[in-house]
Amino acid sequence: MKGVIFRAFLDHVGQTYGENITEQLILNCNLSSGGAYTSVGTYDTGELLSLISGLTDLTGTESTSIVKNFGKALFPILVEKYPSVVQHANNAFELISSVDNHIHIEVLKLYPDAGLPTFSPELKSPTCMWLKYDSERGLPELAEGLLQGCIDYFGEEVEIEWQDLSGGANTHVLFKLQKKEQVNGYS
Amino acid sequence: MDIVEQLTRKLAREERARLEAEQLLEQKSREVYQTNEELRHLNAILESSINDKTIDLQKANARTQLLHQTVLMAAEVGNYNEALLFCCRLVCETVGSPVGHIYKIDVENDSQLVSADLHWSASEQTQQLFQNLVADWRFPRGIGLPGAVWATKKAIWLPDIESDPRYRRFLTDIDEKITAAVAFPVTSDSEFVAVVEFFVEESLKPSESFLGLLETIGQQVGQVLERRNALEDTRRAKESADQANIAKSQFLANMSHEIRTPMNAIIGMTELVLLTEVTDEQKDCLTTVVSSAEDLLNIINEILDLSKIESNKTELDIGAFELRESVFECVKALAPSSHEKHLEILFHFDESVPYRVYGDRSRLRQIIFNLVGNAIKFTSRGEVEVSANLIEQREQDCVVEFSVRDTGIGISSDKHDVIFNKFEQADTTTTRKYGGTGLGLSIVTKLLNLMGGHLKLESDVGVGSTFKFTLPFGIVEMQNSQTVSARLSGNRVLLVDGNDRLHEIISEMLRPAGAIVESAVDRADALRRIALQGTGNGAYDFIIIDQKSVVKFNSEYLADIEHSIAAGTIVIVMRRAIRHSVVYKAKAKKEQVKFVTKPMEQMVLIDLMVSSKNDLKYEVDEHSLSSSSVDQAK
Repeated sequence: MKGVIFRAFLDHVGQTYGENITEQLILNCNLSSGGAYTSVGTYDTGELLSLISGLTDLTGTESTSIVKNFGKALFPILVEKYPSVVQHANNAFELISSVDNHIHIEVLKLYPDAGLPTFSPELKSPTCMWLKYDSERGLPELAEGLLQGCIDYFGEEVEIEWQDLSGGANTHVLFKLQKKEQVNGYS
Repeated sequence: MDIVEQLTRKLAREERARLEAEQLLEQKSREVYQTNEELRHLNAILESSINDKTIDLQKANARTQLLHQTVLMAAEVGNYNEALLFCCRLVCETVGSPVGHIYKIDVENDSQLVSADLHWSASEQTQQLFQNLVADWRFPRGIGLPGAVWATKKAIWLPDIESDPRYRRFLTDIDEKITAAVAFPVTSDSEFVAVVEFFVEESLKPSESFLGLLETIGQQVGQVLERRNALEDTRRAKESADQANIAKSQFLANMSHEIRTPMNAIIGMTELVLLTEVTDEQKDCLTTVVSSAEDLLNIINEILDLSKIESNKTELDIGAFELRESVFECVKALAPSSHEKHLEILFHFDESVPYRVYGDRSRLRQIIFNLVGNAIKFTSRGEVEVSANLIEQREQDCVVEFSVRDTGIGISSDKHDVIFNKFEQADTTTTRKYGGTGLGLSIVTKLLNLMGGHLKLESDVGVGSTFKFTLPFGIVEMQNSQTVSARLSGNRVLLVDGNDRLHEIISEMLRPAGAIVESAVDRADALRRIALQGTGNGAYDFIIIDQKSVVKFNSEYLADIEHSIAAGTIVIVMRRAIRHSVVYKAKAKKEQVKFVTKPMEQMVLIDLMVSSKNDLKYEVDEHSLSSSSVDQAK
């Protein structure tokens, strides 16, 4: 996994739980990288999983919740770092639809060795999108958090549900995104 | 953990991350450098490959050009040596050879090749040196490069001419770079005829496909030779055919002359016998002998004419003559045969046609006789018209178009060309039905060619044919000095005839004399018109009527008209050129009825009209004079 994610995670932990917890977490996890990450480097995904489980131990927060919240916090960080990826989209569905064909291509230009999940969107109606998520890492909560971050970024209200299609491995997941009806009755 | 420790740890991590980032950057730089090197290498390979392909394309293009130019040359150049030299130059220029030349089979010893004395070089000096060098070279079949090309009929590349095991040659004096040679055969109809050899540097090794191209070029050049030979054969064949034709024509001319003499004797003697006392049966037989002999003589005369023209013995007899009169005489002479078939024969010369011209009178008459004779022969009802118009006039000369029109069987368009061939008529049944030798039109065509004229035919089957021909003449006199004066000024003429064309012709004939011609289509129309005019001063001066009407209605027709006309009207009966058994007896005074023979000449008709008018006037005057003297006596 790219260093940019690790750096964002540690920043998120520092901002959410304080720098003391961050240092404690790094100490507890006994990471081979020692928690020193550079954005352009590539690190073992296991280190992120250790950090997540270590944070649960330290704070008692559910790992799924940690991951989801991290995803949500990660989106604005990425937007700030790479503003061009959102410029072409007018709303959340447009951006989500362009993940595989546009954003991931941009990612690969910078990080040719990045292991990226695949997203297959299907617009069921103007207000409903199904999104198939496939990833060896099995982090649908991170994806959910990112989706939520994206929806928040566009100031929209979309309900997210997902179901695992891989028997608990979470490597194949179907997200169902449903825009909420507006008060005046127009969708 | 206090804040200082937190920051110290964080700083240490950041430093470590920075170092890692720098290492990563260096590694990436090395990778970029490596990739760049690989790209440069690939680029060099690509460029070299493009260069190779460009050179290949240029070569292919040069070869295509070479072949293209050879093909063009082979189609255009008629001279074989020129073609060989052109091809040698083209090949040398394309491959960059400094010198090339051609060998042919030695005429004195057909087992070896010698220089054809055809060389090409970019420099004159080289060419001179080379020319001296090759003058002594001889290559037996299979020996040396040219000999090998002769034996195999294949294009061959010899990398080192100096080490040729069978025949070493040294050209380093001429150009030190020359060590190799290429030679290819020139073949005509798969037969070997020559070798083109050119010299190159050893490195310029030609490919198999180029050698194949050279063989194709050799075949193209060979085609020029084939064509030249074919042309030569054709020319010889034509010469011999022309010779044979002239000989045949001479023989025919001589034979015809030999036959004519005894034929004249047969006719003359038979006519003499006919003058003696013979029985009716003998007279019949002898008459048949004479007419058959005359027919035979006509045929012989036609053959003799054609033979003379074909053996170039015909000479034109140019002199001054009256054009209109000469043609009219022909028409007049043929009128009896036309009238025998109840055909109208019309004659019309435009006033603009010069009166007296320079030309061959007798040949013109022969043409008219032939065309009018044919027209009458192939027409069973209707008319035959001979006319002439001036179509070009300069100060000294003019071109007249003659036209012979008939309302006969016509000729289908696919036969238009055939009928001008000698011995051919439109089809063989024509000969059986209408007779003739089929030489007439052929003679006419040849005579016209001789006289600078041109014959053309317009014809529709069942409608009729018009033969038109133009002839140039020198102008002697434009107008007849005996011009038609207005001797019939104000006279009114009624023409009783249904033929519109005849009406036009007579109107035109009488217009210069000042007469006004009206036309009645038939008897009833004529009677109506005469009645309208009354018998006083308004009555017609002349009524012109065809004899056939008189014959048809057993004279009643004319008698009716006669009853109706005024005392001063003169009836002119247009008589046929042959005598009819029906004899018209005029009820009117004989001075009031005159006869004129068809076809009519303008002057003859006008003279007749003027003189009969005078006669009648005299008669009337005399009559009134005697009446008045009687009255006085009373």
